[in-house]
Amino acid sequence: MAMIEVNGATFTYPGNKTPALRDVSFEVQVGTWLAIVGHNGSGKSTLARLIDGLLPLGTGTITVDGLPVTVANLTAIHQRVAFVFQNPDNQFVGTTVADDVAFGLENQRLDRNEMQARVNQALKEVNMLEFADREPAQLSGGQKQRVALAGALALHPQVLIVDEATAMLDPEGKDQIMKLLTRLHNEGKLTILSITHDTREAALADQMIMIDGGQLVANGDPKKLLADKKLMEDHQLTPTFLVALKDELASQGVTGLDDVTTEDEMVTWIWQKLNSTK
Amino acid sequence: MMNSRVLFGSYVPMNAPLHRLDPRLKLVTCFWYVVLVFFARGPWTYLMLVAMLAGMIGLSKIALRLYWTGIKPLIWVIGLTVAIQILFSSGGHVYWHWGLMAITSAGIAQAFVILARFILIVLASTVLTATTPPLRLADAIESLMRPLKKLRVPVNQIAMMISIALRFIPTIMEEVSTIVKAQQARGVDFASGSLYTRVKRMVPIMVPLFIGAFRRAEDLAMAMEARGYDPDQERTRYRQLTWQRPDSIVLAVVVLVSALFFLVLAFT
Repeated sequence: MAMIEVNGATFTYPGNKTPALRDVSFEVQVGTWLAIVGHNGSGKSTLARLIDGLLPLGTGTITVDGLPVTVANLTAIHQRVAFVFQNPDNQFVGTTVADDVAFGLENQRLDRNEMQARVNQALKEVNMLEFADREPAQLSGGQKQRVALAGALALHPQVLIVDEATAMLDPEGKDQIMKLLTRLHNEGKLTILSITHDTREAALADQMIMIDGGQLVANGDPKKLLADKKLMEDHQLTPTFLVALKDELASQGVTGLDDVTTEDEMVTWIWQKLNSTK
Repeated sequence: MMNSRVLFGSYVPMNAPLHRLDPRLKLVTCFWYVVLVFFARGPWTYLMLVAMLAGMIGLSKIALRLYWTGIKPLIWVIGLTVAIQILFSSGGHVYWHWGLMAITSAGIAQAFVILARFILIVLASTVLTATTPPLRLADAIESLMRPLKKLRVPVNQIAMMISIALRFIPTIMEEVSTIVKAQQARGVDFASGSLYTRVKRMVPIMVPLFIGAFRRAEDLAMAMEARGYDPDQERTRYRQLTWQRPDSIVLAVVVLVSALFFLVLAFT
C-alpha cells in the first residue's frame, strides 16, 4: 500500500516566476525509507514541506495515508506526519527537554498521564531520558536533534520526515542520528523520508529520488542510482566513498568488483584479496 | 542558563521549604506583602513587617549575603529617592533651607518611611525570585490570569509568548556574543570612544541580530505548525501546578498574620 502518493506536484513561491517544484510524481510504500537527494536549492525541502502541508500546493495532488493534503485535512496530516528540521535551535519550542517533547502532545490535547508516558518512552528511545529536565542551552547540537526526534516520535506518526537534520552536526552527532533512523526503520512500520545532499546518508535508504531544478530526475534503488557516475555528476552530487573507491580501483585495472554494493561487502572483498595474496 | 539567571533576579536552586511551595501562592503573597507595606503605620506594624520578612528569608534558607546582591543594584535609586524626599518635603522643624530645598523634621521622617518601604519591598520580591525559577513564575502568572479568558484576553497565547521568550533568551545572548566576536575580529573596537561613537558601533550588532531573530521566528513558526500548534485551540498542559498541604498551611498563616496586622493597625 502506498503511504504517500505525489501526483504532478507543482509549487511556486509567492513573488517568483519560475516554480520551485514542477510536475513531480512518485509513490512511497508503507515502511519504506525514501531518500530525497539534490544539491542546495534544488527544491527537495519544498517537496518535503508540501507533503506535510506546511506550504500550499499549487497544482497536482498529494495524499498521505489516503488523505489528500488540503487545508481542511491539515490537523489530520500533522498527526500522521512528523517533521524534524535542519536547525537544532530553531525547532526547540519547550523550555526544557521534557517540555519540548510534550509540545506536540499538548497540541493534540492528550491527557497528562498519557503525555508523561509518551515523553518518557520517546526520550528513552533516543537515549536522552536522563536529560529530561535540562534546558536547551545545556545541550549539544546532536542532543538537541535527538530531542527533536523524540518530539516527533512521541506523536506516534506514520511518516517521519527528516529534513537535513544532520547537516549542522559534528560527525559524532550525525552518526547517532543515522543509527537511530536505521533502528527505527528496522523496527518496521514507520515510513521515513530523509532529505539530504549527503550521498552516504542516501545509501542507507530503500528508495531514492533525485530532484534538480524542481524536477524529478531519477527514482529508484539508491545503490544503482548512486553508482551511476554520469547521473551524479550531471546533478552536482558527490559520489559516495564506495563508488569513488570502486571507480579508482577500476581505473587501476582491478576487476571483479561488480557484485560489491555496500561498504561492508567492500571490506570483505578487500580482506579476501589481502588474504589470498599472502 | 547563566544568562537567564542574571536577567531574572537570581534564582538560587535549592530544596528549601519555600522553594517547594506553589509559585501561585508565593506570587500572590509577595503582592499582598507589598500592599501591607503601604498600609503600615507606626513602629508596631513595621516591626511586624520586618518579622514577616525575617520569617520568609529564614524559610528560604538562602544566605543573607545573596539578598544583599539583590539590593545592591538598586542602591542609587533608593539613595536618590531618599535624598529628594529629605530635600524637598516640608513641615515640622526646619533645620536648613536654601531656595526650594529644605531639610525638615517631617522630611527626614518621611525619608525613613520611604527607605524602609523600599528595602522591605525589594527584599520580599528577591525572596520570590530567589526561590522560584522564572519558568514556574510564568506558569503561576498564566494560571492566575486564567479567569481573564472570560474577558477574551488571549491567556494561552500570552503564556506561549512568555515561555518562548524565556526559552530564547540564552540562545539570543549566545548569538550576541558571537556577533560581537565576529565584529571584533573585523577590527571594531567596542571599548573606547565617546558615548556617541560607542552607541553607533552597536548598529553592526543590532542589524544581524534582528535579521537572525526574524529567521529564527520563521523557522520556529514552521516547526510549531508541523507539530500541530494552533493558537486558537485549547491545549492540555504537560507542566502542571499542584496545590499541596504545605501550601494550604502557609496560606492559613498568611491570612492569620494579615488579620493580626490589621488589628494592630486599628488599635494604634
